[in-house]
Amino acid sequence: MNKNIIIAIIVLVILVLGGVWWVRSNKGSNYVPLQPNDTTGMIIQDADALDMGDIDKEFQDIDKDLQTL
Amino acid sequence: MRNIIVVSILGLSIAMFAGAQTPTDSTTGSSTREQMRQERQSQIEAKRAELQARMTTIRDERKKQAVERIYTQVNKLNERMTGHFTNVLDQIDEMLDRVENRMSKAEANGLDVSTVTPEIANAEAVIALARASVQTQAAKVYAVQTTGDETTLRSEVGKTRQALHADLTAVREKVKAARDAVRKAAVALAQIPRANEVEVPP
Repeated sequence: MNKNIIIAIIVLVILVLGGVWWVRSNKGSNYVPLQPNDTTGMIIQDADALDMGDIDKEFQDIDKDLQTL
Repeated sequence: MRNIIVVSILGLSIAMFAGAQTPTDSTTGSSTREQMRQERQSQIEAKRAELQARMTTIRDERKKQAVERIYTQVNKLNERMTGHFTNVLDQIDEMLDRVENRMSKAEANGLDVSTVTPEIANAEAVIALARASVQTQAAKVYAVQTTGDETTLRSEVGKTRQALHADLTAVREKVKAARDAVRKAAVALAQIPRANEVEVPP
């Protein structure tokens, strides 16, 4: 057999084996970001934005009436 | 074969009928809430009549009207604020569900979520405490304790106002604690690398 053909076959085999190894080593490491409203950052943001109510403001009308007594 | 079909249809019909007859939790819950609301309303009216009777010695009609108005406002404000706190707790609950959901996905991806689980359990307990506190507060009726003396009227009515203010502030702190607990759980989850990513097949 021609020497060049043997070298070409060896290179091809090395390339195939290398490809198989690369695919296997990267298996399971493909991560994609979740939908924006499902991230912890968004949950924290929503928690911070919660309206707890302004109690003092709610008492303004009562206090106004109280002053007339 | 025919008997089997007949028995199956009969069984299915009985099951559906029984299901329709069993009241759901939400129906029971709303009727209980309605009953509690009506009871509270009757208490408010009874205490209003007591207040009117105690104010017969007060000659200034404007002051009398102001006291009655404050009495109404105090109890309405309690109802409104406890309703608001209930809504906020529902939102907090929904946020905790999202954290749990994210945690389950992270766990399914093989991530270590051991720092998040105790925070979620803590948040659940704090939310339950806050809910109990809101329910207790919602059932309260605030009365104005007056001797019928015009000179002490402001301080007497002021005491009722202060009592509601202190109670609502205490409940608000519990709701805030529930929010902070859920936030802490979300932060714990955020600190896990790749917690916001999902693994896809290559």
